[in-house]
Amino acid sequence: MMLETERPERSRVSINSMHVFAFLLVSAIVFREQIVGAVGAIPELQAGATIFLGVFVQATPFLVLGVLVSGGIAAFVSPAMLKRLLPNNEKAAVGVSGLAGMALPGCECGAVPVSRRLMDQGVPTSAALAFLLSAPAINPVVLVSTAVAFPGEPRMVLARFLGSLATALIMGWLWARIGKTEWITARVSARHQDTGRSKWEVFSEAARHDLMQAGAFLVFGAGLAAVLHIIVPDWVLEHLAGQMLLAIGVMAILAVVLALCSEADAFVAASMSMLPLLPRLVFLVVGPAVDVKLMAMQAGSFGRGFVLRFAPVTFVVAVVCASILGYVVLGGAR
Amino acid sequence: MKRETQNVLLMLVGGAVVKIAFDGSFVRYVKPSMHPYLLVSGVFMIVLAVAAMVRDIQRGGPEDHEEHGHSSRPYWMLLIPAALILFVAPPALGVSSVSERVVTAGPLERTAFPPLPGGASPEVPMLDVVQRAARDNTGSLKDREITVTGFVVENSDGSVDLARILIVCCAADARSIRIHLDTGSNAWAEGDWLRVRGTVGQSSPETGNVPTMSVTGVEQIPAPENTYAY
Repeated sequence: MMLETERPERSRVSINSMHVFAFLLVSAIVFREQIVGAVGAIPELQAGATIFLGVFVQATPFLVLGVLVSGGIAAFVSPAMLKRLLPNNEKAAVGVSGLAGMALPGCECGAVPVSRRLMDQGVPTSAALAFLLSAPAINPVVLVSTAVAFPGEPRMVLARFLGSLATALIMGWLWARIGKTEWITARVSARHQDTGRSKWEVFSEAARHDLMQAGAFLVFGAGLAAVLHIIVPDWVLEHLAGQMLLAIGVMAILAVVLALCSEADAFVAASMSMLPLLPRLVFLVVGPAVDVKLMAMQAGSFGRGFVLRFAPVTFVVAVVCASILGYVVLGGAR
Repeated sequence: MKRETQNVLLMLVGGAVVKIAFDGSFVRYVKPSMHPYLLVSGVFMIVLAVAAMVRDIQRGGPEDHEEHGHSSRPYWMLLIPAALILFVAPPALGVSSVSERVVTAGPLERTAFPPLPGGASPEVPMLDVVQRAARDNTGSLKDREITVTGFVVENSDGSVDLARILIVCCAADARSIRIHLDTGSNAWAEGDWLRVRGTVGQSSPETGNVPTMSVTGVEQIPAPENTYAY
């Protein structure tokens, strides 16, 4: 690595990323009118751009909160401290970190860098994954917004809490049983030589790195969500009213493709009042656990091989947990 | 991507977020209540970028050593939102982009709503009107002239609706709400903003809970700064 950076660059003309960046920026300024015209000429493209920015701008503060926490963990929480906090027994550690998800009031975008950082600091992968799944789903902000969205149905809040927590714990325990560390292919960002670095430096470097990393993949995910928004027609919903199993399946898939923020999805689910409650609960449990935006961010932080295994299993576990717990808590398929 | 470029890019993204928070155009994409959080996060990004630059300058050059864990190539993606915000600034969603996403609801339980504001033809938010028309059991809308603001949508059969785009959290969850106007003629173009006076009847699930307004007066107004309803 050092060899590459020390290659004498003055001796020959080489194009580096700064040149590309400057070139792109200048062309954007020069051709601004044409770009605006091209986007404006196609209404779908323009709406897609607005939806994309909606998802991205909405996620930005949560992402920043997430990297604040992850930077804080890198700088102030030593692996030894975490070891003391978490039970030695891996199964118990999964339970503790799953419940600890209640403490991060954010949506899924913030949980990815935090759980990645927890892994780097020596927390068992299974426990970090339980946190990854529970944090966006069972924190107070999400539960309150669910209660507000379903004013007459307090049991919806309980069902969502239990369904999401069960999904997180089961996935954590599953990983403890059959998970393999080598599935996480994206390598751990090199632990900085902490000697001689101030806490502020460790914090800001970790936060900067996580922000670039998670932000870049958030762009992928937000773009995909915008495209799917334009493509998926809404009339699919209207044909589901009487068919419980089909409705559950379609709502689970919708949760994945729409990639709504976990703090907003309850309102969207509430507005689909032609559907029974159970499919809408499935929508609320699956969304924060698996969606296209989250899959893109996980691919960036944990590697593609991880996502290919983790996402489908999480999807099935979330659908099953939500259906069973919803059936019990809501009092039947309704 | 070189570390210097990363820092400039991060600054650009942070600057873009601060820009839309400052000039108020962020309401095209998210709710107004996000304002302080957007400002803080934009500034935080800039601070992180500047801190890294200052550190590199003090050290006499960037250290690219930390990036060997994974490729930094995906970072280029961050150029897209920054460029969209700074150069394209896409407008708020119009009805054409969400026309299919009408908020419709099945049979609803009726509850008592608080009385409407006093005075002659008070201004009532469209969402409130639609909800009262569908679910109010006190009949607060009955024979009461109110004023509703929205924009014109032409239906395929030539009739006219007054609509608003409703967002819960961000533009990704946008839907439209509508009130049908029973005016014979349509003197307006699609997208014109109107302040309409009239009385609104009860709605029924058969018509997708879209109420009908008997119009008594119409005033065309310029499009408001913030076009969404919440």
